[in-house]
Amino acid sequence: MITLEHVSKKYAMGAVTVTALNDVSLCIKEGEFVVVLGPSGSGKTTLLNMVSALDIPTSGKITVAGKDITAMSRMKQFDFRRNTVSFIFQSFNLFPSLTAEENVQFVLDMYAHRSNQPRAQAVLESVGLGLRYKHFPHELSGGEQQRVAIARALATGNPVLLADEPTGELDFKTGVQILHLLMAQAGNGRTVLVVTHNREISRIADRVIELSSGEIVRDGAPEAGKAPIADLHW
Amino acid sequence: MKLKFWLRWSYRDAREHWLQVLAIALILALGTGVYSGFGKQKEWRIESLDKSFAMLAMYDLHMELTDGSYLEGPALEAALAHIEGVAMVETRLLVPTLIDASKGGETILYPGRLVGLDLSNGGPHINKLNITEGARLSEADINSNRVVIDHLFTSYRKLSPGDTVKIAGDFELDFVGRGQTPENLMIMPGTGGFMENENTFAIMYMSRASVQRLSGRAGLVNDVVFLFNKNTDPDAVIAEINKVMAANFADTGFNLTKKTDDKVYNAMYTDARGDQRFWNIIAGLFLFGAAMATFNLAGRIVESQRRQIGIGMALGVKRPLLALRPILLGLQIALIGTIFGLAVGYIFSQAIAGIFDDFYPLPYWRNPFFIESYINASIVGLIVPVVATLFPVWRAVRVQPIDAIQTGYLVAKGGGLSYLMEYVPVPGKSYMQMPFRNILRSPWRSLLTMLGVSIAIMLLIAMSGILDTFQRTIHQGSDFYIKSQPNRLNVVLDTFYPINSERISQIQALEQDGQPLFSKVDVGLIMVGEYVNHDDEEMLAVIDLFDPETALWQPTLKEGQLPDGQRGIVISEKAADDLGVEVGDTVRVALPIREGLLSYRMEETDIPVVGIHDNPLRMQAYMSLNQADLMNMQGLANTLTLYPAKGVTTEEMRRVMFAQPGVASVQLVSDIASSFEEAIEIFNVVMMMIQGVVVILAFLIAFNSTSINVDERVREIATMFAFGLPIRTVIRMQVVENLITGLIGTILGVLFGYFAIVWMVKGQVADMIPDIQFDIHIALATFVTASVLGIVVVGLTPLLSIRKFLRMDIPSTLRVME
Ligand SMILES: Nc1ncnc2c1ncn2[C@@H]1O[C@H](COP(=O)(O)OP(=O)(O)OP(=O)(O)O)[C@@H](O)[C@H]1O
Ligand SMILES: [Mg+2]
Repeated sequence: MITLEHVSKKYAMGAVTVTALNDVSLCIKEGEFVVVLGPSGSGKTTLLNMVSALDIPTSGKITVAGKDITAMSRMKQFDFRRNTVSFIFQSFNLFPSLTAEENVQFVLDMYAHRSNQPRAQAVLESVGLGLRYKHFPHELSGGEQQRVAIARALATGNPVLLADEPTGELDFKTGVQILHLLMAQAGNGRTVLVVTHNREISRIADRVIELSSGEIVRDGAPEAGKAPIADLHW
Repeated sequence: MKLKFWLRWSYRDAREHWLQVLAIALILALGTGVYSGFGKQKEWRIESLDKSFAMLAMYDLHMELTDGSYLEGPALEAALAHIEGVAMVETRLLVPTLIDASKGGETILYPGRLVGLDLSNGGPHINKLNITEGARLSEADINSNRVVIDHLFTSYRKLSPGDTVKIAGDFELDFVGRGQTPENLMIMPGTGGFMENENTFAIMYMSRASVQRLSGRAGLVNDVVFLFNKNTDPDAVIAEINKVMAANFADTGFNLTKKTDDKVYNAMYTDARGDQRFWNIIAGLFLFGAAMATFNLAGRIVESQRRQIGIGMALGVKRPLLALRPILLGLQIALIGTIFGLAVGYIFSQAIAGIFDDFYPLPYWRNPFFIESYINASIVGLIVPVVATLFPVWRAVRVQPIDAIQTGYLVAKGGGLSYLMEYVPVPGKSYMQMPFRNILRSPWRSLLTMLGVSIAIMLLIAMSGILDTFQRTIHQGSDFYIKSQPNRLNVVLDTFYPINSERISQIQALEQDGQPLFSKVDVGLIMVGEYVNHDDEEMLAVIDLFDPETALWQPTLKEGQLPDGQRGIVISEKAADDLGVEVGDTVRVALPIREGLLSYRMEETDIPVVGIHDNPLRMQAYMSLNQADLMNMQGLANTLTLYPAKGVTTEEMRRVMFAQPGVASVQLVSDIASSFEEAIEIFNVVMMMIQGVVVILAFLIAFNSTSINVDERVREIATMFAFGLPIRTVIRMQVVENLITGLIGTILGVLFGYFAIVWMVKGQVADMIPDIQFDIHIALATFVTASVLGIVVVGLTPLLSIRKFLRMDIPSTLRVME
């Protein structure tokens, strides 16, 4: 589903060049629930940005759902982001002047032609925000905003779901609830990529990719095998 | 997608930025409004003229008997009654007189003319008298002393019905109304007294019988107006009249003027066509400035949502849809703006029509055409905000979405030009360097703000500057005449008299109460010639010959000197420029050379230019009296300059001089000085009217540019508050930033404004009013206003945010990672 071949991303800042990703190659299968683990600054967000065509790599080739996104026209990139990937931002990136419900409705409206669309409120309920759908982002806590962002991503129904620290702002109970949802998406055949620095979360993954200084240092099933979600605690 | 959803979203955008949206809409409204008020001037003026002249039954043909000739009214009417094609004939009696309307210690004593109209059967029916104030004349007035006096003269001299008015012979008239007939809408050379204008020549309308009685010319007339049937050939009528006159009144000379040859009638139309260009420039500049400002400001609102555009891109929203929200915001601005613009346009068009009504009181002065120019302007008004909002979208989709999201609005990646800070040593703590960093960090935003301010200042400088230039010219012209010897009187004699003639020595010896009236009398010659340039084109030259050795009043020179014994002419700077000559060159002048007693031939002569005088009138030139031989006029004079003796007032001199035989005109130099104002008065008055609007517009633009700047920083400011930086410090930083931005914007604006004035004055006005020299002048007050607006107001804009800052919900401002 997702293939990276020798992908590097470098930021030139005057004399200094920051290498955010260094010659990364990997292959993720359809329906896999993958956790990307790594310390702060290791290149996790950069990796997601590349996979979602929010940014282009300095070198290398990325294929998602059979499409080479590194060779795509801008126009095709728009289509790709609309129809293939959904992104949950580390910093939420909600529309500040839209309510929670409208933020979700916004993406639903983009796919108005698709059948079996869920209702915005139902999606919000599934992330535990059933009562807050009339509120604007600035009236919501960080965790609540994050759940709106997750609801928005779920609502798209796109085959690839990319989540950047989706539980970062959440308490344990809600965090687990969200992970449940994400796993269920993988169960439905979606490919889910979750970025976190929380090693505990990696226990429930099908596969764990560990980044350090922009390089893959480990790739495989969780060390202790895939644990059920009920085992988690932090 | 549901339209309702988008409309609601966009309405929230507008509400969030309501102050800016409203201000931009107002800017747009002023731009489109002024444009539509000024536009189509030619069309509505010509339509108004057509209608007015028709309503007043402007004559088709005008017959004036030679000066001093009179005919029996009934006999003349009978002779002209049955000419083929003539629908109506009316005879009138025109008599020169003086008006004395002195009041409250102010002497109002001027030459004038009684116009005796045929009031029978509700007349006059041709060249009707349009009453602007007071009563009209009716059949009942046929034998009364009721008089209607010229609108312009009474308005300039502040006379209203009921004021005491006397005419020559100390005869008091009953001043009942103010008004005009179409042939007297303005006084032009040849339509009033010699060298007079509307302010110095009073036309007075009475019944024909009354004028006949007052002038002792019972039954006599000297002026006839004709109205034709439709499709009448004026030349056929003229031929017929010539025949009839030759048969019946062979000894009487007369002059016939077709309507289309009427000087006043033509001038009204020529002005309407010619002026349009000037108003187009003013209107265009307004619209241009407002459009630029709207483009800038509306774009900025969308720029501040750049991050959200990035999010939309990340969500894969199609580009047309990405543009929808900004477009809707732009449309809201456009709609409010153009609706207000309609109101502004209406007010302006009516105000301008009102000004014209004051100057030329025609019965119909209406501007229905503003709707048409409004439609043109509102197309601009609708398109600009929409395009303006699209521009930032276009800018955003060119970069990777992550850049649009991450960098935040407008902040250039990598810190913009911040590195320049290393070269600019700014003392103080890091947060005092912040304003400089802010400006450099986001050069695009800073540039937009500066441009916003500069547009405001450009408009202000251009509009005020053109008014300053006009007023400077008026002052320069009037100073030229009245700076020295302001009490002198200029007298033009009815013909040429030998300098030592009895007529002149009698005047020189005039006395009042046994004392001499004048301390000195300078004699001179005034001659009308023409400058001839290299292409053999001619332009008017009015040459004053005076004695530089003895004359008390002398023209002030800019350059060179007065002719001193040798051949030489002093010309105006404008003439020198137009002829391409300098002091030391020669200029070719066609001069009248006297051949017989009263006959002349024109002959071209090359005369050295010895000086340039300071009078903005192009035609004015000076030579020494001893060069009169050039024109075969040696020893002759036709002008006198009279200086009062001690204890004698100018008014006393005028009263005496009006009674003297051989005097064609008696002019106060202050009246000559005012003729400059006359020449550009309408422009002047309208420009004064829009001064206020320019200041408001400039304020709105400047204020908005900077307040948007402050708004964009609101998150950053919340962070500073969160770190405990006092409001005072934060405001100070913003003020410093705005001061720098304002200063640079103002400097740019002054430059743009200056170029605009140069283009207007040297390129356009010079073409439209070629006979006056306009020196570009920007008054100190204009610079001060510009600096106050561009630097002080802009600098202090952040103070208005204090309340907002005090009430700021810091956590919630910070919480949203928008
Ligand atoms: N626009 C940029 N310009 C320069 N350097 C950048 C840019 N974006 C990211 N980097 C650098 O690239 C590296 C990887 O950044 P990235 O955001 O991918 O880290 P991360 O693993 O997501 O960290 P975190 O867990 O803190 O979110 C970091 O060293 C960061 O400083
Ligand atoms: Mg990250």
